[in-house]
Amino acid sequence: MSSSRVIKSFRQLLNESKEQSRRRLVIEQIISAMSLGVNLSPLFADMVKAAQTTDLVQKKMIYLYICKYAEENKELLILSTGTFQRDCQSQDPLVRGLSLRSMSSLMNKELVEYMAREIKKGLMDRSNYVRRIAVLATVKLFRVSPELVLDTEIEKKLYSMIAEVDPYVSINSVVALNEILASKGGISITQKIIIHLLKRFHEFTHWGQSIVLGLVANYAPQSEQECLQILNLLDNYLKSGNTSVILSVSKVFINLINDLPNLRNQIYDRIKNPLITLVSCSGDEMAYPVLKHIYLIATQLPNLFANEASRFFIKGSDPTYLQEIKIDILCEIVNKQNFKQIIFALASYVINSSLNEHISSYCIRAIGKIASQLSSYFDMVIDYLMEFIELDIPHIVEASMIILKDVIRLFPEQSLEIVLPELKRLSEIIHTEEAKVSLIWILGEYGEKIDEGPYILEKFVETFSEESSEKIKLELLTSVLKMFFKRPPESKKMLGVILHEATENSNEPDVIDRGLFYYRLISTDINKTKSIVLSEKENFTRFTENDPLELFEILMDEFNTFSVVYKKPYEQFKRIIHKNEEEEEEEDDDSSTDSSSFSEEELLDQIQQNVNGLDINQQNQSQSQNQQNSQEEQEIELEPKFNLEPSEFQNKWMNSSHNLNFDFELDEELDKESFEEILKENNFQVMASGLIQSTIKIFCYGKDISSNQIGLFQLLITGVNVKLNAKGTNPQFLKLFAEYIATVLTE
Amino acid sequence: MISGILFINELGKVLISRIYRQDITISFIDQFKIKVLAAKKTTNPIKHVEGTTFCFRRIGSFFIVAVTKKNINAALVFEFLNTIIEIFKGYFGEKFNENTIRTNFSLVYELLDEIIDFGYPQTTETDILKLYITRENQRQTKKSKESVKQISIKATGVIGWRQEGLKYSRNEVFLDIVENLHFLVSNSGKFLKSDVFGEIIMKSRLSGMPDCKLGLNDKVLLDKRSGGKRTKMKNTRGGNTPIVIDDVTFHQCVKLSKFDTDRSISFVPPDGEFQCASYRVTENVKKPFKVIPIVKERGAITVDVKVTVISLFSENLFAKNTVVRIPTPPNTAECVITTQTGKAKYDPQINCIVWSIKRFQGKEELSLSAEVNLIRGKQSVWSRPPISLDFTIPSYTSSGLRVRYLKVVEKSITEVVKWVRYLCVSKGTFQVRI
Repeated sequence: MSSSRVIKSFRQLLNESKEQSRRRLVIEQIISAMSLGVNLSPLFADMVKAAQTTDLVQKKMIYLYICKYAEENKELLILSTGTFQRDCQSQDPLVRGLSLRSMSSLMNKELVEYMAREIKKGLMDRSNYVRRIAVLATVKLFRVSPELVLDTEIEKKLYSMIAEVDPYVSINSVVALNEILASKGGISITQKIIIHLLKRFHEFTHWGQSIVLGLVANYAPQSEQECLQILNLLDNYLKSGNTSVILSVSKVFINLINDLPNLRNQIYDRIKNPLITLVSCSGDEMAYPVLKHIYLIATQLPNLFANEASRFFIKGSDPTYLQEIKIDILCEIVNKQNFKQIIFALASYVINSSLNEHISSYCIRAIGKIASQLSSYFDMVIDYLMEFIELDIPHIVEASMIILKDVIRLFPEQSLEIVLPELKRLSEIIHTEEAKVSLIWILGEYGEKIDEGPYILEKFVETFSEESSEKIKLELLTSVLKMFFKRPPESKKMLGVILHEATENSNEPDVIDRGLFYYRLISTDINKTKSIVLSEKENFTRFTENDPLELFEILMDEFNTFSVVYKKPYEQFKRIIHKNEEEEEEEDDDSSTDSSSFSEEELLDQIQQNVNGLDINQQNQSQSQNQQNSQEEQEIELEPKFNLEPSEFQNKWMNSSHNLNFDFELDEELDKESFEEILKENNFQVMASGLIQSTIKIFCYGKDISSNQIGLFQLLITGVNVKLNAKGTNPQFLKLFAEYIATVLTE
Repeated sequence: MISGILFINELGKVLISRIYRQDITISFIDQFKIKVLAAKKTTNPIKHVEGTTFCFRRIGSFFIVAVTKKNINAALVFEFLNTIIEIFKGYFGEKFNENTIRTNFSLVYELLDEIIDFGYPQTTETDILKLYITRENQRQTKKSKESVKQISIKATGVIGWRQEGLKYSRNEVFLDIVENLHFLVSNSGKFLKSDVFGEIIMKSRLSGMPDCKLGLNDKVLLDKRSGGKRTKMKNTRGGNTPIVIDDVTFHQCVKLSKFDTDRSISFVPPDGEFQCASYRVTENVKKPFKVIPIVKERGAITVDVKVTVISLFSENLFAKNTVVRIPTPPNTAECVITTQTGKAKYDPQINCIVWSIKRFQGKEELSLSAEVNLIRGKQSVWSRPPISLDFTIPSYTSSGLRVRYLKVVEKSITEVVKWVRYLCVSKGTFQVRI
């Protein structure tokens, strides 16, 4: 599993490199190999040894390494304690902090005593940087052995540290206690703590403020007076520039409503504007949870946002998930005043060809939903649906027919007046499966009310044998049978045909079965069959797919969490803690090697070249110490009059050992001539160029004066996108070269 | 809290994974690849998989993902991701990409370790972070008792966003008021939607700990000053007409309590550039342009279009890079366009006539007419999407917001050079129905 050659090469490099800057480079290579997914666990002992450095940069990287491979090297871990302990005594608070944070992150049972001792010291440290790290380390200690933290000095100490001047220490103490005491319901939120935290609220970072607000939301104020105080104090923070803070304040406000029911409307009014502003001012990702919260509030108080409908109109540039939620909100806030505005907007989305099919169907469903809420306007809805059907665009017809059917189920009497006369025409223009099914259902249920009803059905029966859709066949069977009982003379023949076709000439078992079933029913007792087929249907007013109202009440309690986004109470989506964690860990090992799609050879090459490249530099330039660390700073300077023959170029192009692809974007579009000009100005030599459709293709090369390296490259430019393919013999140089080209072109 | 932060590219290769809490495993990250990257439909930015939530944002060719097992506040996670991106931009430049991440592995890890501890966000102010992050040899050479002391002071200081002891020989403040218009106008010129989203961006190079006070022509403030007497005096003089701000948010440094009591915006600014405030105005906003569209369908195969654009702002001003996009039916074959000013051509990809005018002087009237020939055949409905405009007008605000004064108080500063600029922008969000 481990790439032994890579390990060996690293180990050798570690031992050989005495100079600090060189060691640092080696360790950097180890970390990047680790990130690529190479298992470097066998280097553990070497790395622990290397940790005794005074260079903080190296130390940070080594500690990162130790944390990553500690699990696999339990027996060697004890070696590292010496280093950790020594670093915890360091003069530099950064080193003390780093050591404490890394050691506690190991969360290792063997080290628990050392950990506890250093944490206790850390809590008393003179640097607040170290103290704040120590505070969070207590949680890690708690995870390893709860008894060392719960009901001990540490717990008491943490409570007292909430009062510390340093805002980070204070906030971290709050979160630490909250986690440690999670089983007891979290930190005990006393009036004293709340007052203390709110008094210095402005000192905290946004993250800290969000955490404090989380506590305040769970706090039950003692009196109405106190409620109002909190309300007034936090009101300012609805103007915070941070979405998280605004939503957290909103949650506190909503919770306070329980204590101040008479202020309910005013409170919602306060949070309305900030939320609307957030939607328009944040990025798409952020707007999404905000809109979900607005939706939730809208389910409780539809009128709150009723005058703001236009803010939830969708934009063509919105991603689909924002469009969906905006439409959902529009459905909730619709009322008699804004009805026309909203329906008009939704209808225009349906026919707007720049929106995708999914959204136009979604809008049609929304229109149907609105009809079910505002029954007095159903005729306008039906008009729209009929218009959509005439557009003859498959997905629109499909969705519209389904909704038309649902509207008829809701308001049969009124809507049939409008729809029935149109049925014949509809039957001629409808082609898609679901739409046909809906139409056939309407015909079966209400078709007898118009003269031509049975004949429209008959048309469908005529093509029954050619019909490939099982759904249509089944629906047709049922509808014809219904029609038979209502208009027997006209339907008798049709029923005979369809039963024959279904039982004798069908391939679908369900169709055959249904046909046989009906046939036997009729032949057993025709009157009973009639009463079964035409049984009375219950009237209904609400579709089951509409969400239950209780759900939203639960969600209001879980305001400002993922529950609102998922529209599910936490209970429903939290997962029970894994039963077989060990299994998962095994998987872990496998996949970490699976997912790393590197070739060992390549990597080894790369590492060696990276480090060897350094040697070359060292030879070439004696004062190169700085350059080792920051190779990017190396300047490329090209020889002005360097020239290659085309054949030489081709030869080098074909035979270069290294290849590098690099994509970047330009600030503005340029034409071919200006590209060549820029390249020439910077001493690149253009070998060939051409225009293929709208893509500019340029072959170019250049020679660096200081390193004598030659680089070849090809540019493919489409608009502002540039694909660069560079070739050469030294990867290190190639990288610099590519970056140089990119900077030349982008500047 | 946040269990881990990942950087994953489009192909599902993990560039960086930093796991802070051991409640998730590396193998679980594959779920992100399966459920988000491999999913055919574009999913929303919050994805739930077996009790774990992935929140992600795309940047160029890769994703930055926060993973959590807890039921936490989604806005906080996204704010945090945005902050990470801002910090990275500060370190790696505006256009950081996969390659920058790869070449700076260890710095990325260093940053990810300082800004978050055990899943809880810590210091995210770039200025303060610089004290903890030790790139190159800087620390070894410069490390002195002084800087160690600084860390303690800095992290404790109530003013977390500003370093102490800054010194500039020339003290300067730049204020940019940038307004983004989101207008929808009916074809008769009536407002259907008039949202102005403004930002006040301040860039300062000031010594010491300056107290700044910013005065705007905000109606509530002016009313308060004059005891409500001036409310009925409309349009007194250009800059002093009070405006009604619907909603405003401020940077952390603005003392909100002061704003609440006397509507004054006072603050100690962070060094360099920051967004001081953002606001929204919807009432009494001015249209920079009047657009008169005439679209007539002549028979089944021709549409006549005539669009007149009149600039309503003062003749001393001008709009830069104005682009008017006039939609045509989807079955457009060709457009015969005539106009005296600017360049115009038909772009079949977006089904629009694109008319661009480099410099649009104030109080000017330009028009374009076109004959649009359609492809005969399948007749589909044309939804008549609105005309949209792009433009940038320097020294103009649609809301009428003006800076009345900017005071800087700091002992060590004798003179401050102040610059105030106004900019009104639309990126296709100024729309006119046809």
